[in-house]
Amino acid sequence: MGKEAVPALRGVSLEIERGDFVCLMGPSGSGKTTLLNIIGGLDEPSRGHITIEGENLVSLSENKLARLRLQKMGFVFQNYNLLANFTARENVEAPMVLAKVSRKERMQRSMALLDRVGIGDRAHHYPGELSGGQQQRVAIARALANNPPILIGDEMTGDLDSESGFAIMRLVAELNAEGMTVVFVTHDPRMADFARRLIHMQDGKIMNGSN
Amino acid sequence: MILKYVLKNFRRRKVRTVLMVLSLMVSMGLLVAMSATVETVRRSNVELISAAIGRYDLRVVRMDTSPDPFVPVSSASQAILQADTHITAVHPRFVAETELNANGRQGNGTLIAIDPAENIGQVEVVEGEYALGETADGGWGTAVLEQTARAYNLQVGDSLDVAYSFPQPREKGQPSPAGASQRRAAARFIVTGIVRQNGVVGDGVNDGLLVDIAAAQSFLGLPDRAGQLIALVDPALYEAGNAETAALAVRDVAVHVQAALGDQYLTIAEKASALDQSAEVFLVLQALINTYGLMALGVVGLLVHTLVMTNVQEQKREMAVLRILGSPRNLLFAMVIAEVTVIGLVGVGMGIVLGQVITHYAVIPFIEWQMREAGFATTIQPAVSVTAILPAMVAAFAVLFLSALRPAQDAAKTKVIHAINPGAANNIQLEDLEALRERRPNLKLFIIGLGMMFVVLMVIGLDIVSTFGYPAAEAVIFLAAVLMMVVGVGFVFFIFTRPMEKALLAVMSLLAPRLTFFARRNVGRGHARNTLISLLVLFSGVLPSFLATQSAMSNANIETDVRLNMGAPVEMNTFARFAGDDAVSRRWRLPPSFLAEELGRVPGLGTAVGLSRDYFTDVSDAIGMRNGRVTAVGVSGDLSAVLYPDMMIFTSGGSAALAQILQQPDSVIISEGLAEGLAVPLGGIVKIRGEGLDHMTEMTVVGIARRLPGFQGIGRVRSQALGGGTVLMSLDSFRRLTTPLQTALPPPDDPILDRILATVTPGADVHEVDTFLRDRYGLERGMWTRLAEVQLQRARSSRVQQQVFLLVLTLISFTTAVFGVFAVIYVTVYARRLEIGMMKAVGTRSWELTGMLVVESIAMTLSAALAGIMAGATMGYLFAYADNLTAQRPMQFAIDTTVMPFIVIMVVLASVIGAAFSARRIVKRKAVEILRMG
Repeated sequence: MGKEAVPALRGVSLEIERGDFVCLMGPSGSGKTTLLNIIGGLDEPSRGHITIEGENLVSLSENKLARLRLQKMGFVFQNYNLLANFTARENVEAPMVLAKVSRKERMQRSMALLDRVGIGDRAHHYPGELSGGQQQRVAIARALANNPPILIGDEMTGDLDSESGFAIMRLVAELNAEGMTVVFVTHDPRMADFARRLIHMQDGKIMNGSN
Repeated sequence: MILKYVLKNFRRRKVRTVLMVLSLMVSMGLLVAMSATVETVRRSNVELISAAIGRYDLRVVRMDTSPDPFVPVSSASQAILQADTHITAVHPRFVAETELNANGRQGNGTLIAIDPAENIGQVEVVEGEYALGETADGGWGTAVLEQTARAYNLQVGDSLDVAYSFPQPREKGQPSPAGASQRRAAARFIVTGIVRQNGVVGDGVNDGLLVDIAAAQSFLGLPDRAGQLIALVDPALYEAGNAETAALAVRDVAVHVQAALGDQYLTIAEKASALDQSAEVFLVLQALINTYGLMALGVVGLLVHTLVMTNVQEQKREMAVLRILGSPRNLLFAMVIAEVTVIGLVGVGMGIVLGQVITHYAVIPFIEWQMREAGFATTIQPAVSVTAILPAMVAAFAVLFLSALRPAQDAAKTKVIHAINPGAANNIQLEDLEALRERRPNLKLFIIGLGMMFVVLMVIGLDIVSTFGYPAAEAVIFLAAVLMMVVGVGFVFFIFTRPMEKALLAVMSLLAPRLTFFARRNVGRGHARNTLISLLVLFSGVLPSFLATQSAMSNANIETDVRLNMGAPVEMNTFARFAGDDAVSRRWRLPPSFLAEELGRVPGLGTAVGLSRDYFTDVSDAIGMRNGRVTAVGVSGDLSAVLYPDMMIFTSGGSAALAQILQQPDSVIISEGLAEGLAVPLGGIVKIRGEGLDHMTEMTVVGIARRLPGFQGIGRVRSQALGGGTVLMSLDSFRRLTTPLQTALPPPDDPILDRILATVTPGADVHEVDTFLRDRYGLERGMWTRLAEVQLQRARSSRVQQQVFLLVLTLISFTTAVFGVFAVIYVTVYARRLEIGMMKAVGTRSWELTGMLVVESIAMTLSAALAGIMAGATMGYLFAYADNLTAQRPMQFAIDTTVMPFIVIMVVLASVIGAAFSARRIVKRKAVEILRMG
């Protein structure tokens, strides 16, 4: 028996404006994470195209795509994915190192970002020494390190208690209010309420809005 | 079910499985190859010994107290053949020192009279033909050994006169009668060929002539008689399992022969005796290999432990599901053990095959080539026996079991909660309560106690094995001590790995700042795995660096050692120094006139000073309160004219004392150790006991030396000085000392010299001088000549071989370490895949990720290698300095420039390849794919 290809997305067409606050919702296997990964340049569609600020991601090489993610996207994952051997500040510094930001600027900006997300006093702690909510704040600070215009969040509050989850979403809403485009996936309708635009997905299709 | 599960696991984790099998195969292969090599060489040793001693097994001669010194061939041969069924052949021979005369030159040479049909050993014809029978003109033909032909300028067709002095029987209990033999026989032989011999007689016989036994019997007037009978035994006796058994079997045959012939005969089993002595050497060699093998397998064990432990951690959820389904704990334990057993069976099996391939196609051809270079044209049969393989197999499976034990226990401890909520699995569960209540033996305390007792256990163990005489066990204990020292020094120097990592990263940050940013954190903060990698590399570097440093120091000090050992540019020792028996020694000693009349005419040879024989006697201070033993040596001239001046150290009296002892009767130069031991200052008196009754000589100390080149007995160590250290005096003083009081002194030109030290005239060709002295005096006077310059050249040329050996050792030592590093890096990369996935997601490019891992890997392994090199080199220098300090040798500092750079290159290559290969599988994937791996 050969392997059978199962399409995750079927004819999805979606346009997101600059400064939008979009939430993708739907049951497991509906294709919302796949769509989010394609938007974030982490995955590529087998057909079609994805354009960010006029640039087609499908035509970009692996290296150019990495550069684009570094400059234009910030990622926040459900399980934080912080570097275990790095302190909170060093985790925030990491994308800046890749973007060749000077050491002095890195130090200043990382501290400012940690203060911004409310854990400046935990800058020298390792991820293992932080709570889930604090780790997710570090992840958000890291996502903001290179001032990306887009924030991609995959179940950002999935592993957090309600209070921490709401705090994270309030922080993200603040960022959006400052002009950052936010696209995130969640199962939690309470968190989805923070978004200005809600997209329901099922069986790889968008059930409301554009399709 | 277990096997099926294990096989599926292998399929899922191909790289890890291949790594384990490969590392096991390589280490096992090397171990089997080394053991098989020793086994092969041990078996070939019979061949080597035969070549060195002669290709016969027993030699029967008449006792020198027998009224008839010759053996009756027919009757004795018959008796020998009947004495033991293992005797296969008996042949008569004369092998004796004779006087030779040809082309106006006279000298000595060995007459080798053999039965042309005996076919023992090989005769290689250089010129002419090997024909010992009667010549066309009725004379006897001879095949002259090449060295003799050269010394006497003999060509095929020349005649050679041989004179034999019949031995005089010695009366039982009496020394050999002095004076010349009363009966001589002479004959003229025609040179039919110039030949080399291999195994006809011992390889030490290079001068002389081969003749037909019939010719010898004829000219000696001894029909059906021989100087000796040689016997061959059944070669199957040497096929015994070990050298000792073979030697004892041949000895039994010799005992039977001796019993059959009676006490007028002496049966000598030189080959068996040499074989017996070599058995111990092989035991030690085998012990060394076993110890090294354990080290190599230990590294493999660490590797297997790491990889299997990782497998277990990854399978926790599956194992928990199995537990939920009702699987008992011992099934999970058995699954892990089965996994390692299958790996062991495959790896060890392939290792044995690899070992055989290495032995057959690399080691044996190399040994054969080496033997050919050494003049032994022989073929070796590789011996990969069960004895070579079995210990390695047992050790491999023992190591594998030990390395799998902990992961298997960990698997058996899998809790059902691992399947339900892995995050909470480390918290105490209901099923842990029983274990918590139970009090268990404290293994940690046991191991600490064992470690603290180790030194005492070693001392007691060594004492026991020395008492009961197990040389192999002694060697194992000694090597275990070396191993412990290596491990100990490794642990001590482990402290330097962190500072060195920091230093290396600081340097790398200048070249690749972004990559180093990430590597610095990971290197500094990953504890367990980084420590494992560092220790693997560090231990592998210690021993080769230690040996390389010792070798470098020894090479840098070759010149000093040769100069200090020989004392002067030319050293000539007469056979008298080695003869042992005083009567024989006397025959070979030289008169003082030899220096001027003979050596004075040798082209290229400068000043020569003769030294008397050693006279071992008592010494004391003036009243005998403090005393000791000394070796008195008389000197014929001013030693300062021949000794290397920069090697001399006088604490009192200066080098002028060397001339003063010649001018001032009964004056002496003593060592600093003796001066301190007897508390005698310069100008003080020492009493030296002379030959005969009541003979005490008071001697004035005119010089106190700390070091004199060429005289090992002069130093500053009191115990050595008082236990037989050297004192120097004039030949006249020496004669008086060694002549009993009521006996007339021997004439001034009486042969007294045993050793000569000389210089070479400026511009002389040392090789020509060397050849001349050997050709001229090697045969005639039984002198052994050494020229410092020639010795140095030889020592330097042998350095290349030493370096190759060290590089091979390093290569072997690091092969297993490389596997270890590779495996740990592989596991590290795999364990950090989420981190790598995240880094990719935020925009790190593939080459940057690979670069980070390579930098990390280089920083860790290189710093560990450098720490290992430091540890080994420090040990090497400590040993070298301690050795030189006690031996009073000046020392030149040296650094190894071959092995240590080789270690660094190997480590860097292993790190780069290991990290790049391990990273490749993850890095080439998309970020989402990596993150989905979970």
